[in-house]
Amino acid sequence: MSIAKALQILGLTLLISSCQRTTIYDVGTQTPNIPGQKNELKDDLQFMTIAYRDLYEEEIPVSVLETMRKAYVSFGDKALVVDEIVQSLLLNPDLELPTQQEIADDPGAFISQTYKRFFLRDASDFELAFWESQLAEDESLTAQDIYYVFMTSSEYKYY
Amino acid sequence: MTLPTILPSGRLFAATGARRANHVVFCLFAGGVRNMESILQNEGNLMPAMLKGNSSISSDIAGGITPMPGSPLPKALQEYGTLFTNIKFSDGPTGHFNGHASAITGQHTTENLSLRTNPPFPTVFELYRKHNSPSHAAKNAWWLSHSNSLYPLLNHSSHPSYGAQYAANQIAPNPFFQWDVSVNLRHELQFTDQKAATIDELRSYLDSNFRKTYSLNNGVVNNDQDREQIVSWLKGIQDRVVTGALSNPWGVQPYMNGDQYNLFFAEELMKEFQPELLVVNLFGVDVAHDEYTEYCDALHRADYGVAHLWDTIQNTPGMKDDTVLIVMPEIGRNETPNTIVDQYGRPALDHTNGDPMARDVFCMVVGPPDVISQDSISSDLGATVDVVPTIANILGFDTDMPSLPGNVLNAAFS
Repeated sequence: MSIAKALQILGLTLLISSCQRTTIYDVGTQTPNIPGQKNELKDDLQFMTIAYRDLYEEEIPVSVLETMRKAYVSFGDKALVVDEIVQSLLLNPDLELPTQQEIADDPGAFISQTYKRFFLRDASDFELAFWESQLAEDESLTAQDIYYVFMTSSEYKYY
Repeated sequence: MTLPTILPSGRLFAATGARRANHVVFCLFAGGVRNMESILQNEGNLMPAMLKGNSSISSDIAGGITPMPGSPLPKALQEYGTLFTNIKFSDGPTGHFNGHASAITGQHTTENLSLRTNPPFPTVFELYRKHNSPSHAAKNAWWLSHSNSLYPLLNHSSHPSYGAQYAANQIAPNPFFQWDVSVNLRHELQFTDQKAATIDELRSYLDSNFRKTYSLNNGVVNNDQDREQIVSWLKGIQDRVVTGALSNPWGVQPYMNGDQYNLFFAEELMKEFQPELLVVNLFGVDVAHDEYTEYCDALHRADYGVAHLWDTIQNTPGMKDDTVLIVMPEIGRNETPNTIVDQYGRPALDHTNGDPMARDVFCMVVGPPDVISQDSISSDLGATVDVVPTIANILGFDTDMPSLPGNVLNAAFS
């Protein structure tokens, strides 16, 4: 199913969700893009859905998306709500994050996986070098910090 | 011959743009209210906290009216201002969204008003934020909507000269502060100053590698400092939700309804931000489509809530004695009932375009005695579109904004 088609269905089901409780959310499968080919801006519902899947590696449960959607449509400062959602996803105790030791043992692997996880692409050599130097300079940086930076970056707003 | 008045400032006349008060709270007493059950008191005084009069509630429906706590005000709200008894929703379909849009934009609406997009005319929030001098951040303008469906669209228009950059902060507190949101969605990542700076630098690095001119649908935009205060306020309310501290905070038995909670959250917001412009709506009375007596009960509850709101304004530093409160239904309801009869034998009421009574409403303007004429009644013909120019006049930005079809409700002023 194409993403556009899937999102059409998502929008429709959200529209009628107040009447029907048997709702299926499906945003299809993302195709990795190379830098410069990410031209489609995620809408906010896509953003929430994709953010959940990127972190938890599973589809977002209907109840979780409904809670997010409720907050999103109830508050006018959308950037504030989206930031709140990202923070909440990162703070969930069910989320398994790489430990400091795991990052220290192989920072290159952590950065490579982070780029693939959120940007759906490989890090360039220059990017790898930059992040490895940052992690070496500041040992207080956690996976939660790095994930937050990636999830609030411009590139993550696109697919 | 009329001699010019020398003002305390030494001027002969008030400067253009002079303010009458620094805060306006506009309570859309919405959901469709007939004058018959409100100011005409045909069922007795269902609104004793707002309206003068001691007439008993009709005996056949009295059992369906929930007793409210005593009014927090020493006298009826109308005695603090002017009651306009002859206000018309003069043009456009007599629907709730049209009624809200007219009241908030000061423009007549038509059947072409879209229910999916922001209205085409600038809202009072945008007029205020664009034309008030000095201009103020969104933190000073709030739209508290009863529902998170449709009505949030009224915090700004699609007008090319206005739009989101002049929008109000909008919140539908009843859904936003529900348990699931309050427990699960929270701003809790605590970054120290140094860590926050590092985060910003790292994000800047990522952004420098991905240059896109993107335009997010971010709605209203707050600056960092204001956003921090808003987040702190949201977290404070969420904490109280989670601990159960906001379970029936007014002690209304057996429960507070959605209108009362919306007003409660408006009060909490005022205490934190003292906004210059706040619009809050009610909606409970729309149960009248099916249950006439419940409609009367909702009126009774809304009456207590509005008195509570005024009492809070008078106990909020920064707003006390410097706030004008305007209360007005967005539309009325039909004279001719529909066929649904409630358990008290009363037929229900719709609001359709062809029934003139669906266009009749009241408007109450209350405020400090040196600003608002006290204990006054005006039967002058007015319109719901008069509220926006009246707000603009009170806050002093009327001289700079485009003309509107409505008129200032001058009879309200001292």
